[in-house]
Amino acid sequence: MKRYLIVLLLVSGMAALVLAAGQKTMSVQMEEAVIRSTPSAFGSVVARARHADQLTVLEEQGAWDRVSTADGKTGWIAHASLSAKKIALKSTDKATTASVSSGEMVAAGSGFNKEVEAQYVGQNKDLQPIFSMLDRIEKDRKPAEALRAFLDKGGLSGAKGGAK
Amino acid sequence: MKRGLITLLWIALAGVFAGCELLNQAAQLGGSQLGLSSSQTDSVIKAGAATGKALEKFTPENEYFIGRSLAACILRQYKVYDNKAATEYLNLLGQSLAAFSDLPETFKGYHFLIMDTDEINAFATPGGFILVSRGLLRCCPSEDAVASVLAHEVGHVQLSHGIQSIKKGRYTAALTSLGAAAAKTMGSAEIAELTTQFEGTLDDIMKEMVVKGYSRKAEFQADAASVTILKRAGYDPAALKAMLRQIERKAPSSEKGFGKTHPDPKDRISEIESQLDGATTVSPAPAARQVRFEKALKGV
Repeated sequence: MKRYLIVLLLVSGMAALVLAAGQKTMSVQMEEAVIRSTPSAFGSVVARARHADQLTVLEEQGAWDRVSTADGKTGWIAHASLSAKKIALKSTDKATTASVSSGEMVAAGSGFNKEVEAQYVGQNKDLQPIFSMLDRIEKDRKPAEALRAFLDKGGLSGAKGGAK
Repeated sequence: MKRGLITLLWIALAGVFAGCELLNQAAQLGGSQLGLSSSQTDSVIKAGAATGKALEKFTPENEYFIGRSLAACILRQYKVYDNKAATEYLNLLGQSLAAFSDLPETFKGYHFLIMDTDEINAFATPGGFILVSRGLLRCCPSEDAVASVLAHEVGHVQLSHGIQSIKKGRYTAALTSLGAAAAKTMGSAEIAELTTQFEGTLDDIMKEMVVKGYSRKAEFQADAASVTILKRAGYDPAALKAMLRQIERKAPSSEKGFGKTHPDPKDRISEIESQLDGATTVSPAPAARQVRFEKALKGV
């Protein structure tokens, strides 16, 4: 009887692990990513996730994943915004450095980054004003409401949905 | 003992498929409970990790920095056309289209600019800077036509055609340098090494994108992506076909720009034909759409 109980406990434990495996954890690999109420770029905003935030993936649907945040909010995020690897914002401690070295973790801001760009611009000074202009342009990101209004006014059926 | 080993292998295998650290922790825990030595448990986990390891590639952040510098290099050759209304319209249209692509978000979003040149040309850099010439916009008779051009460029970003044009040896060397640099604080020697790789990467993409042109296959793929995006958004996909006919008339293959860097428009049309469900002409757009198109791009 005792043996059966142990087997039952083991099987239940494994089932729980399999369920947990179905809900994998992914990291946000964009500077900012919006979690929306529907699997579409035009769904209302449920939450905003930042670079390196970890989210639990509950379901996948085409280009979109249904996720939950650490504080329990649930919604849809573009699949391409997520990385299977953990992202370290700063690799200061030894454990993080080891994880980055082994390829288990990605260090944000590493590699081709602001420092490399600065060095490149230093060698190509004529590009400096162009980079300043690009900095200004990058700030112009249209909110979903503005895009939806644009589509609506143009009589475009896509205003009702988004990429599926 | 044998049964315990089988159970542990099963758990570790599930961990590989899920890519889940939690399961590897469970394997460690299970190993001790099942009486396995730590070395036996480690072997199982390492075997699982080796099987599940993905190929390394640039992160969206790396691609963003490559794309920014490429845009800057292109704008060294072509000045920006300073027309606020036209640029605003292009960004509303382009960012709407990008929302319907399979890559609706990039590291810092999609941004659209107009190049001040009569040349018929357009470029899309990794990360989402998209540059379209005044010459190309002048070829567009409607918003649907502009949408077909922008959606084609979004297709190049979505399909990573810029990154794919980096020479294989350089790509490997750059990823090796990036991997080495990621694990430590960068000193001036590391930054200098990375900057060399960075310059080489930009050179490779510039040669392919600006001078030589992407492969025929890449252009056909971007056309297919354009048709998909147009359909999702509600634009008439036949507009791409009409636009290609227009380009054929206005940008002969002997000319700099589209004519030289893109496949024959006739071949491009025959490639997308099956996606157009037999549509031969562009359906008339609602008046409001045509009015705003003319208002925004009239003076271009």
